[in-house]
Amino acid sequence: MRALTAIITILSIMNVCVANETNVDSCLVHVIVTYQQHDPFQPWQKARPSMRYGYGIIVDDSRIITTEHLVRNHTLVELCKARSGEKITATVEMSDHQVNLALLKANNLEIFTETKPVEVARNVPCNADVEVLQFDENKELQRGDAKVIQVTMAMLPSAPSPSLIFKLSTDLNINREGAPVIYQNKLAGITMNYEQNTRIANMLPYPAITKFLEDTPYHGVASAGFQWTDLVDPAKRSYLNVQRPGGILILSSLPGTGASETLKTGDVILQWDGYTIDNLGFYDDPVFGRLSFPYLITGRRKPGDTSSVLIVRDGTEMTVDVDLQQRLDKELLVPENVTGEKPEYLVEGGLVLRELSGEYLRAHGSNWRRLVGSRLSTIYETRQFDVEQEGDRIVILSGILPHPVNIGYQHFRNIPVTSVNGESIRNMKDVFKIVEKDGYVKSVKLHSIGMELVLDENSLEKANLKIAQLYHIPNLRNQSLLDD
Amino acid sequence: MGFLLRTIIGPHIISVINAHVYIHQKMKISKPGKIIAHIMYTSMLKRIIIATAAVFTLSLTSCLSLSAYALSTMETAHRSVVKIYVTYQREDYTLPWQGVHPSFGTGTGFIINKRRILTNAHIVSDARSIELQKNGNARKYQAKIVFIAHDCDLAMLDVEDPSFFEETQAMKLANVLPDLNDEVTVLGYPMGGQRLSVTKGVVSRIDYSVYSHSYVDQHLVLQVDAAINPGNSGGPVMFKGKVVGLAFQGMMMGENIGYAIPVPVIQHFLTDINDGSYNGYPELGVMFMDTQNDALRKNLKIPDEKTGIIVSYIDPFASAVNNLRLKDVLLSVDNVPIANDGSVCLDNKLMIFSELVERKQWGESVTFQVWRDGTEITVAVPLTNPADPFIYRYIYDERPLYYIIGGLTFCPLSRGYLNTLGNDFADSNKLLLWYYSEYAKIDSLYEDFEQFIVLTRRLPHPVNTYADKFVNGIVTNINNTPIRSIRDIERALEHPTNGFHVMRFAGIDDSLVMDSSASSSANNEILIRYGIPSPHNIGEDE
Repeated sequence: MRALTAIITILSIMNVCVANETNVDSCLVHVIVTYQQHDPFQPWQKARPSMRYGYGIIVDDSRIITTEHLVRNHTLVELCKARSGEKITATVEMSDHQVNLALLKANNLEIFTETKPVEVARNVPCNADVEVLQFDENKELQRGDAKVIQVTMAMLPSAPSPSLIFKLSTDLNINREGAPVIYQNKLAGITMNYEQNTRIANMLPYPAITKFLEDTPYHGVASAGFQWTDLVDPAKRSYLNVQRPGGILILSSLPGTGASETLKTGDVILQWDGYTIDNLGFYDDPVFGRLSFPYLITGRRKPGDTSSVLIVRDGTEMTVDVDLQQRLDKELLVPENVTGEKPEYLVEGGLVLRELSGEYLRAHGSNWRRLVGSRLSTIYETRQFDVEQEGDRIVILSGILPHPVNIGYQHFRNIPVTSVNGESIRNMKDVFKIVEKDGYVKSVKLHSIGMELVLDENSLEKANLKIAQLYHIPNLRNQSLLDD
Repeated sequence: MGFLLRTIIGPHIISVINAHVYIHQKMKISKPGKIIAHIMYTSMLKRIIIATAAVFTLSLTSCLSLSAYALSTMETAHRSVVKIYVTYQREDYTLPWQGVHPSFGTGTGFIINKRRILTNAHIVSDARSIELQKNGNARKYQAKIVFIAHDCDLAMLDVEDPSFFEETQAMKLANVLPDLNDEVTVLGYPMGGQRLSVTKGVVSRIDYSVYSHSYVDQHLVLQVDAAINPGNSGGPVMFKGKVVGLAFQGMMMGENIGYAIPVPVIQHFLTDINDGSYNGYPELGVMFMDTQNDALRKNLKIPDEKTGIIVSYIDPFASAVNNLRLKDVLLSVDNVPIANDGSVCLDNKLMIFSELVERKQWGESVTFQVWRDGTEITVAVPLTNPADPFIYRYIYDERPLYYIIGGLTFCPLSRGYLNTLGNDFADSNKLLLWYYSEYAKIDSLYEDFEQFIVLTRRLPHPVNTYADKFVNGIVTNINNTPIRSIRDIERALEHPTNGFHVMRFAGIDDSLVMDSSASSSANNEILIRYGIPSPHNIGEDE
């Protein structure tokens, strides 16, 4: 009799659990993305379309959150619920590669019937036991126990600065990105990747998701715009006359940012917004414990805020205010273009002009430094912040499409361009302005080559038409409409 | 890519030439023999693929139909082709105060007139002992280097003991190059046996190629399909009983591709040393563009009937610098017309125009007809061969320079050091070194330097614990004193900044800070701990 009671009790508890689980479980959707990048070497055309599969989770009446990486360069986004083959198309409402999050809106609200959105958790302990949800190949739900083993700042694959990451240990072989992590029936975060041999998953945690969802209009991630290094070396501390323990050293700042106005190379930052920073750049976060200090900017602040910073400059302590802004990739001398946006280009007389980007360099494969040569590699690796004047970029002749009009020049490729039609240029916008003014490209001067490449104005128009036809180029130029 | 044809026995294989080195070679711009503007960017990839592995095939030619020439060739051969045994020791550019393990190798040489032995420079470079052995004679004779030319891989040896030359016969050099398909005989002591070996083939090609020994120089080469193997290096290539070349390198990944230094290059060497010293090839130092493009020709107002090439870069260290100008159109060289692609017709053979400069000696002039600003003028360019620290030729027979302070080892950037870095260009300091070595002159990086000084190694000690991220950085100044050469370091260290040495590096925002008195007092301890005989070797002025 006693045993029976016990069984009944257990069953009833399980019932409660099952009811709750269904609630969260029904919010999991399969996200099927067809994507297509532009061809990095022939930017007038697109590469072969391909597919990515992942998960999203319903967070309100019509919207689903997932990773930005999953939907990057999408041409079609489809959603599919558990135990269902039906696919519903969705639109990407908002995405930010700096936090690796995207918000999708289903084009048919049927998918939301019988579901109650999952709430985003407000507090998940740094050693919490959590659950990961995913589908098997038949879209049956799988759930696995996981444990938060570390809270840390780490580089996301496509972000310029580190972000808060929870590391989970789980035996569930997480099969796709975007799988939700549940803590007390709330969304603790979404997973980005899983390493099978260590059984560790990286999770984008709830604070980033909350911020992403609640910041309307969305401001993006805050940045102060400086590069820094640790300050452990006692000789250097003594040389810089830093009396107090802790502090980090500012190396350089990106022109036009808050840091460039108030912080100088050689300043030592002791406190940021009242938090004391140690000599490796860590502080004690009231919620997450010891964290790298950029979280004070990227996690606790948003663009437009001002931070109060205690520094040592020339041996004297002082407090300065640093304005925070959203750091845009396209402000760098060599933008990364991790999101693979179609670059601006101009094809004239077979000469292909474009701006140098991290994406273009990496498109050459793992051996890209050798293939593009030491000059372009060095510009990219060491001069990212060298923007003397807003808009400075590296315009390159990426290659030449052979045609009689460019005979004698065809071996040139991956060389910086310094002037067009005798006028010096700083970016593709300058090139387009010159072309608009003069009507065509008469001559191109390459870096360190004493003779300009001259094009024959009389045969150029015909040659352009022929080149477009020969090489299947629908548009000989791509000029961004988003002008300054 | 070539490999050198000396047999190597010992722990250190000398001629593993990796792909990135080849890029350095292609970027080298100041040699008249390789005015390479138009090949610089195109042929690189193709060549890199070649430079990956070496496959040796031993093809022993057995059926030699002996003509009259062949008979006389063999007779001379027995009496003039000698085997060279060398013990050599390379410098260790990672520990510049010492050498690497000595290695042992063999090669070939042959006796020419005036009782001298001609061979390759790469066989006897960094030699600690050179011994010669005549064919069919067990005795080994001590030999010494009389002249050595690293830029064309030739050396001349002498044997003090006059008995060495008894019953020997000098070989004769031909006056002209053989033609394609001419049958040649290669003599030497290659791998696969101890005695004299003969192989036969035809002249497959006459072309320009990099001379692997110096890493940067390009000259005329004779390509033959006779088997040429390690050990053949320095041996004669015979045609009609006379020497037309000297076997020196082979092609990896190819079959039956062997290279010989052709007779014009040998003659150039012999003429050069006539005055008792070797000056080396003069450097013209221009890059050019061809004038095949009509718009370009119109722009420079070149008359339709004129052919030539456009000067697109002038090496600041070479002969052309104050004589030729950018955009000059070179119409002819010493009255031989230059075609629109830079070729000239010489002895009925199409060659690059710089071959005419190649054949000149240091101190002579070369005359160009130049189309400049719409008129034709004559420009004589006196040929010089100035010391150029930014050319990154491999240096042999010299101790590397270095300076150690507080366990930080500074060295001038050199090919020897670059070769120790491997291919890890993901390391941004190494990438910068690679860039500086290739573009020093082209991108005017050299202007503030007599040589680039690199922090090559940290010898760990508490005084330098935090210096690792500066290793392989190019030091620009110490205590605000510019470091233009290795000799500037000592002076810069005399004036510490508030008790610290503050060192700045190219492309690195951070500064290296070191307690000046602690680093001085640590110096001796570091030298003893790491077994370093002297804290510096800064060259002749020391």
